[in-house]
Amino acid sequence: MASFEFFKKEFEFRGKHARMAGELWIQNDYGRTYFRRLIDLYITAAVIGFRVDRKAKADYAPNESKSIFPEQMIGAKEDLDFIMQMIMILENSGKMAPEESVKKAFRGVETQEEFEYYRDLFHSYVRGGVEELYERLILRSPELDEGVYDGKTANVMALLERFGDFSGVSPASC
Amino acid sequence: MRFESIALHNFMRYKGENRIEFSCEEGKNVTVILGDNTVGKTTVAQAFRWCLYGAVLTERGKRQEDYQLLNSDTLELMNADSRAKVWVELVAIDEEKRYAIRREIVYTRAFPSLMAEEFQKKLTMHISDICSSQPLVEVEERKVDELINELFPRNLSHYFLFDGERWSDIAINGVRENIKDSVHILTGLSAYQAAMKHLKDMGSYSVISKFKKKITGSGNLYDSLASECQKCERAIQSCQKEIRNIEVNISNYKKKCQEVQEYLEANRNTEALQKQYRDLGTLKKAQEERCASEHRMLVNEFSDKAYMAFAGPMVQAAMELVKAVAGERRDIPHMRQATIDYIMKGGRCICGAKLSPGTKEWERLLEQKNYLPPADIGSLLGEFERTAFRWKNRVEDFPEEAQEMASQIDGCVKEYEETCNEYVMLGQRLDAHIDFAEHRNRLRRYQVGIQELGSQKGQMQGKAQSYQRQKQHLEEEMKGLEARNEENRRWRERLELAEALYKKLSQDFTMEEKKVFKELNGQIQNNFRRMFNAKEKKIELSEKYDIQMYYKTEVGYREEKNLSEGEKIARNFAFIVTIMEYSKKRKAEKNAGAMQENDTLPIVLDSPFSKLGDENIRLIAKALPEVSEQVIIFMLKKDWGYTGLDEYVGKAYYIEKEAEKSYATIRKAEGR
Repeated sequence: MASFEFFKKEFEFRGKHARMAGELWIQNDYGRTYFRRLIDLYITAAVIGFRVDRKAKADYAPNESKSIFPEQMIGAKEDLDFIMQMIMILENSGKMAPEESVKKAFRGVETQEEFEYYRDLFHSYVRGGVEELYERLILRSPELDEGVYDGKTANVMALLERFGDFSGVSPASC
Repeated sequence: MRFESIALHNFMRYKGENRIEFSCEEGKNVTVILGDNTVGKTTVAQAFRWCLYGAVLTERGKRQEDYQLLNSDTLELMNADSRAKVWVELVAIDEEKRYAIRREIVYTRAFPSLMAEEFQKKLTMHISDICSSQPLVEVEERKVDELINELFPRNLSHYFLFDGERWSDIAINGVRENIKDSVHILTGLSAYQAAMKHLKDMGSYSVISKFKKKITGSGNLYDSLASECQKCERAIQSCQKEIRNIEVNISNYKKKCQEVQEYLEANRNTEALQKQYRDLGTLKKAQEERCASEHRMLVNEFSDKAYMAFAGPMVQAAMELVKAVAGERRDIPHMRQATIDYIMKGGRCICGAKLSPGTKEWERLLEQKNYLPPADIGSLLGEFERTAFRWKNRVEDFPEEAQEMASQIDGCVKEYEETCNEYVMLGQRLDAHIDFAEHRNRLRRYQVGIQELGSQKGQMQGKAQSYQRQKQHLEEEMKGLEARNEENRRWRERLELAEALYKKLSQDFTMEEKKVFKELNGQIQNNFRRMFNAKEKKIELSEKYDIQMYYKTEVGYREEKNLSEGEKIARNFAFIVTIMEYSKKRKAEKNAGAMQENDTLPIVLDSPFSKLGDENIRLIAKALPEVSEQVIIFMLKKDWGYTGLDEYVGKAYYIEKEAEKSYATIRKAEGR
């Protein structure tokens, strides 16, 4: 990955995804926002998008775009690279031999074409993840029997319940 | 005085002629007219008022002209040329005479519209002796009103023509204004006032003033003194006028002061509530901040850790693949081939051993180099595993932490919402914009105004006294210069007599008024207690004859201004009964020597009990036949049972209205 490095440039949410991101992340309004920074939404959305296998194309509806600046990207690069590696391993596992897919993930992309392919793949998961989060956090109305009174918190807890799972990863396996 | 009958012709709801004869029997002096709501009971009650005074009792916001007296059915049948009469005839009797009063209006129709226009008006009264067979005598038209007012004083009409549904409405302003006059008329005090006015209180037109002008003197000095005296008299009158004005202003200021004080008193609790409201506002803000802080903690945790937790299954799947590919790990973490090259080039290992080709250490390093990137990805795989493990460690307690935070948030939000609700409710109870300071300023202004006016009044009184003394002095001097003739002597005697009479009347009036007030006040309290079985409240007349109600409290009685409709009616009833009793008593005193029956006004009551409880209806009803010679009651059928008046009823009528007809009819009850 020496010559082609991901997550060093600005990213922009556009169209409907910018609108959705604007509702999921409201700067300095902790009563309403779900994420502290836009980059946090970006990272979480990538994972969720991949988890539910939801990709979305860029949308160009005339909404004000929302940008993540390069310095924020670089600050989160280590975790983002880790997610990208996992996506590359898991995405390719059905298409090529496991050894190949792992080597691809760790040696990194070697051509511009490959770089663009994986970058766009990652972003399509991010957009898909934003859509999924929007549905589960903004559009969803919690039920009365969920045991959490505050509506926003109830949605967060429901999301954690649905996706939060590290039980399969044990120190012995690492 | 009793009503013998009333006849209505085309009057409002009544088409054609309808007649009611009232019971004048002793012991059965109650006539009851029963009907459902809106059938026309009040119309008959209105007919009394219209016949006597040419006006109906208007509802708030309506004028006399807004009431159409001609029956609408009759009007509808009229054409442009026809005329229709509306008349009401009321026959009243006392011990000697029968009075037939008839008021009549002839109407034309403003065809084709349904509007009646007055064409001719007439008021007549015939008087005849009850015992003799002498023919009727017609009263001169111009004197009829005057005579009616003597028999049924208009300013007492609110009492003997009592409209329960409306009286409480107008009681405060309407009644307060004429209570004093009414009492003065009833008690005969008005005669004192009239006499005093005639003698002296009407200024230059008074008897005393006229007598003074009759006394003559001679010489320029006398004329000059007379002129000075007149000037003094004018100055005194001007001062008195000014004093009256000041008194009116003081009275207005006092009234305003009282209003503001009552307002502040009534809102005394509001100040405490406002403090509570402010405190609650502070608490609400603190809770809001705490909620925000709890939310912030959850957002931060969620942002920092959620993606790691969500990535759990991905990590597990990727790890399985990686492990399958990498097999047993032999790499050194974070080491690359270039690192080994660097160490070998230095000729000495990190442990201090010397490195040279062929040695055991040299060979071991060469072997290790094979497992390091970029030639081998083993090391990168190790890093991947460690990151996965780090992620796992970071989110290990996250579910519990998140649950704990959610509970904290719930607690905060619930408390905050409860406070918000309480805050809103308290806000509704309070007018948050009440400016007590402004009210207190107003109170201070009025109090200062009263002080200033009081001082002005004092100055003015001093001035008037000074003129008075000056005038007396001048009059003394003039007396010395009067022409010593017979004419002047006679006028002087008359003048002295008139002045003595005025002085006596004035003293008697003051004494009598005090006595009347004391008696009435005692009696009104007794009646209120008797009629309403009232233990926790009492009523009293103020010096201005306002009827005030007091509630019993731990520290004595406290005046209550916000009375319920029932309380207002109860209060007014107590007053009516008191007035009627008093009037009866006075007449009894007057006629004590003559052994005559006492004459009082009949009482006509329209829906008197509609806003009272059953027990109060019974108590009031019981008192009525005792205080008046005759009681005429219009009321709902359903309320009649509560009155317990059956034994007093001499005549009974029903007012009926068939659904398809727009007019009502009166039917005598069988057996009565």
